[in-house]
Amino acid sequence: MACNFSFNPTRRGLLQGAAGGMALALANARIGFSAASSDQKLIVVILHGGMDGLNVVVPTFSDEYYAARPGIAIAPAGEPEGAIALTDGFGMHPAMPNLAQMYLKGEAAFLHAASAPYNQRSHFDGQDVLENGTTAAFGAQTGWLNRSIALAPALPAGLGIGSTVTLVLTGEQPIASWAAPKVEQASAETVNKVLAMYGPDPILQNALQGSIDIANIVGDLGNLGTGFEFSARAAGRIMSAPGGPAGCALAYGGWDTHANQGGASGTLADNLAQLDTALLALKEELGQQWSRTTVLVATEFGRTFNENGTGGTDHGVGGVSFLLGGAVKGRRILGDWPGLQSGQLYQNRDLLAANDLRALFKGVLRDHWGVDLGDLNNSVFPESSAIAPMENLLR
Amino acid sequence: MVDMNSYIALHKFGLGARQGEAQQVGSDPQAWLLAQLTDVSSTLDNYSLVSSQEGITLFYEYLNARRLENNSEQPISVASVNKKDRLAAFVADIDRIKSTELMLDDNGVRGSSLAEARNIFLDKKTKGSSTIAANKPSHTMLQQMYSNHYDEIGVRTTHAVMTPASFREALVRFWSDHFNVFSGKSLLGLVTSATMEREAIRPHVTGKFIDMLVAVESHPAMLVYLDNWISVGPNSFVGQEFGLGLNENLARETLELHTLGVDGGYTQDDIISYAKAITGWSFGNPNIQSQNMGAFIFEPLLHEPGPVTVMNKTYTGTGQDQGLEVLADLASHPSTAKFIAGKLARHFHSDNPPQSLIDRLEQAFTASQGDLLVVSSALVSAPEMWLGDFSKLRNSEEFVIAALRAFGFDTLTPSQSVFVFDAVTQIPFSYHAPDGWPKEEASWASSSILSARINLCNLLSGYVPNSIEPLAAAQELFGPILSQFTADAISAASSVEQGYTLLMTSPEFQRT
Repeated sequence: MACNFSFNPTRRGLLQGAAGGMALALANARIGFSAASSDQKLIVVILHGGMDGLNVVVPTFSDEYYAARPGIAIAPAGEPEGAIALTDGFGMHPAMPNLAQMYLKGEAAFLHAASAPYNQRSHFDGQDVLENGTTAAFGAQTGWLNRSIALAPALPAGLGIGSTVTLVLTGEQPIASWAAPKVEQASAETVNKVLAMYGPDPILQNALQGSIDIANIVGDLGNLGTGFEFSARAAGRIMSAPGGPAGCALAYGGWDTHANQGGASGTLADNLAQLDTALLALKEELGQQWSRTTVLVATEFGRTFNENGTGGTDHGVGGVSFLLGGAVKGRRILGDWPGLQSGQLYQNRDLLAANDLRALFKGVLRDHWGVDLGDLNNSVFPESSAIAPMENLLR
Repeated sequence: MVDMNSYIALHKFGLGARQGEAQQVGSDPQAWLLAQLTDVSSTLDNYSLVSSQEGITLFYEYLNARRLENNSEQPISVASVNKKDRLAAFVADIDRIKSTELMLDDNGVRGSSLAEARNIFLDKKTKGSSTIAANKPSHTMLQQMYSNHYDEIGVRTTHAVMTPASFREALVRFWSDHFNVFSGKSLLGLVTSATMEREAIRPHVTGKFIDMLVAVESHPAMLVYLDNWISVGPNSFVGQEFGLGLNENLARETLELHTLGVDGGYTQDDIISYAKAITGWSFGNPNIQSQNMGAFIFEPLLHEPGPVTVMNKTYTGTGQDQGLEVLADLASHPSTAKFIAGKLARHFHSDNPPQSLIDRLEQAFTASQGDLLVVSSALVSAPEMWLGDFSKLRNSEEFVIAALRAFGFDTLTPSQSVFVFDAVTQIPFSYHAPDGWPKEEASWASSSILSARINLCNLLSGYVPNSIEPLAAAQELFGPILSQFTADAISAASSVEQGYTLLMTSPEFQRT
C-alpha cells in the first residue's frame, strides 16, 4: 500500500503543543498509519439523541416495566415478538440478534443504569459531558479519547469517521479522518491531476495523498452496505490495514424517540437493527484483530421510565452501554441495578444512574491501552479519583 | 488582469472576486475597501426574514400545540394572574423544554444517498427532523422553524455571493464567529441563532464594540445558548422560593471568549460576580413578562441583590445597569483590545501574523475606545497586509463562498445553500462550542475535508453557467499569483469541467 511514514510525532512534543503548523497538518494526513500504532483496537460509538436503554436491554423480570410501558414494552423471551434471553432476567431487543449472539458467546457485556456525570436531560449538555470527560458542559474543549491517545504508552493512532469528528476524539492529538462522500466523487483521474498540481504546496499535497491512501484501503464504496453499516465497515477496514489506527470514534444519531417509537418493530427497532448490523460489520472487517478489539457504545442519557402520551419516551437519566469485542469478558450484566419501583426511580420518573460511565471507560483504557491510573484520574477524566475503574472487564 | 494590490483587496480582505470585479476596484484598492465600511449597509432589511421575537413566539406556540396533542401533558396556563404560580410554571417549563426538546436529526442530510443529494442540490428541500408524526399542527410549526432557519442561511449566503462589498461581509463573519452561537441548542437555539447575526452583529459591524457586545449579550440567542435565561440569583425572589441558583456559562465565556481572553487577568470569583450581575437578563416568555414575548427583558425577581466586585472594582448599581456597567469596563479593558487585535490579525493575515500588525490594531482599538470603523480601517492601511503573504487557508465556508462568487452562482435556494456547506462540513451556525469554528490550518487541511472540497468543486464545475475557457478564467482571477504548476495543470485538463475543478481546488484558490 502506498503509505509513506513521513511524520513520526513524539508524544511529549504533541502534548506540549510544540509541533508546528506544518507538522500538525502532515500528521493530520498520515498519522493513521505508523509503525508505532498499537494493535489493541478501541472503538467508541456515540449514540446521539439518547437511546432508550430499557427497551434495548430489557428488564423482562419487572412487572413495573410492563405496567409503565403498555404500548411499547418488549415481551419476555419465548412470547411472540419477545426479547432474546440474555442472563439475569434481562432480554435483548429482538432487532439485535447479532449483539445478543455476541453476548451469549461471551463477547459482549452490558452496563445498565449508567450515565456520564450529568442528570439534567439536555442533549447538548449531556453529549458534551459524555464526550469531554469532565462533569460540566464546556468543562473541556477536547475529548477523553483524544487525551487517552496522547497518554497511552503505545501511542495508538486515531481515526475519525464522519464529516465531523465527534467531540470525544477531537483535541491536540492529530487524527486521520475519513468521511462518506456526500456528493458524487471526483474521478481518480481528476484527483490525480489535483495531486500533481499540489507539488508546490506540501501541506495540501500530504492531506490529499492521505485521503487517496485511505480511499484505496476502503476500496469499493458499493460493498460497504448502507446507513451506519457503511461507516462501520469503512472504519473496520481502515483500522485492520497493516499499521492501521488503533483508536476510532463513530457517531450515530436518530435515538430521540419522543413519539411512536414502537416496540418489537417500529422506529427504535429499525435504528437498533442498523446498529446491530454495524456492530457485526465491525467484527467482520476487523477479522483476526477482533480478538484484540474492544468496542464501547454509549449515549448521552436514557429515557423516561413511563411511556408518554405519544407512544414514545422523553429525556431521562440512566441508560445502557455496550462493551463488546474479542478482548471483552462478556456474557455479563455489569454494575449495580437500582430497581424500577417507584421509590427507586430518579425523581420518580427515570431509571437511576447507579453507575458512572467513567468507571467503565477508565477500566477499559487502563486494561486495554495501559493508560496510567493517575493520568486517567487527572487528565483523561479530570478530578475523577473518586470514580474507580471497573475491574476485570477484559480477558 | 488583476494587479497584486487589487488581488489582495479582493481575496485577503474580501470574500473572493466575482467576474469583472477587479476592474471595479480601480487604482486605489485601499479606498475601495474603506468605502465598503462607510458607504454600504448590510443589514439585510429587505428580505422579510423572521425576527427572533417571532421565532420564539412560534416556538412557544409549537410547545403548546404539542402539549394539546399529547394527552399526558397540560398546556401552559396563561390565565393565571398569580405571580407565584406563573413563576412556578416558568421553573417547571425549564425542565420540560429540556426534556422534550427534539434532537436535531443529524442523519437527515447525511443519510441521503448520492442521488438524493444531487436532487437536493437541484431543487429539493433538505430534510429537517422527522421524529414527529406528520399532519399535526405541531409538525407544521416545526417545519416552519427549520424553514425559517434555512431561509436565513440562504439569504446571508446569497448576499455574500452577490455583494460588491465583500470585505464588509467578511467582517460580519468574523464577528459572528467571535460571538458563536449554536443552532442545535434546543429548538430555541434554532429559532434565534441565525437571527442574532442580523439583529445584533450587522448593525454594529462598523460601530462601537461596546454596542455590539451589549446587543449580543442581551440577545435571546446568546441567553439561550449559554443558559443565562435560566440563571437565577440564589438570594433573588425566585432563588429563595424555588431553591434555584446561578448558571455561570455566559459570564465565563463573556470574559474568556468575548472580551478579555483566557489570559486576560480575571479569576473564578470574577466570573461568579459577573454571573450574579447579569441574573435576570432573560427574554419574555409565556410565564414571565409575556407582553414582551421573545424580546430581551430584565426580570428583578430573578436578579441577585447586592453589589458585586469584578476585576477589583465594586459595582453597586441595581437592576440591569449593574451588568451593563461591568460590560462597559470589560469592553474598554486593555486585555480586550489585545485579544481582539490578535484574533483579527490571525483571521485576515495568517495563522502567525507579524506582531507589528497586532500592535497596530490594538493601538487603534484602544485609541478609538473600541470604534470598529477605526479598527477595520487600521487593518486596511496596515502595510503588513499588503506584502503578499498568501499562507492563510480558507475555512470551508469561505472556500465555498469564493467559489460561488467566482462563477456567479447567484440563485441558490436556501436548501441548496445548506447543501453546499454541508458537503464541506461547515453549515453556518452549526458549530457547538462557544469558541467558534477552528481557526488554524491543521483543522482544515485534513484528508476528509480536502477531499470533500474536491468532490464539491467537481460537482459545481458541471453547473458553471458560462463558457469562459478555464485557463483564461484562472489568469483573470489569479493575475500575478498564478503559479506555473497550476497553469500547467489547468492547461492539461481533459475537459472544461475538469479545468474549473482544478482552478477551484488549486493552492491559489484555497489560500489567501
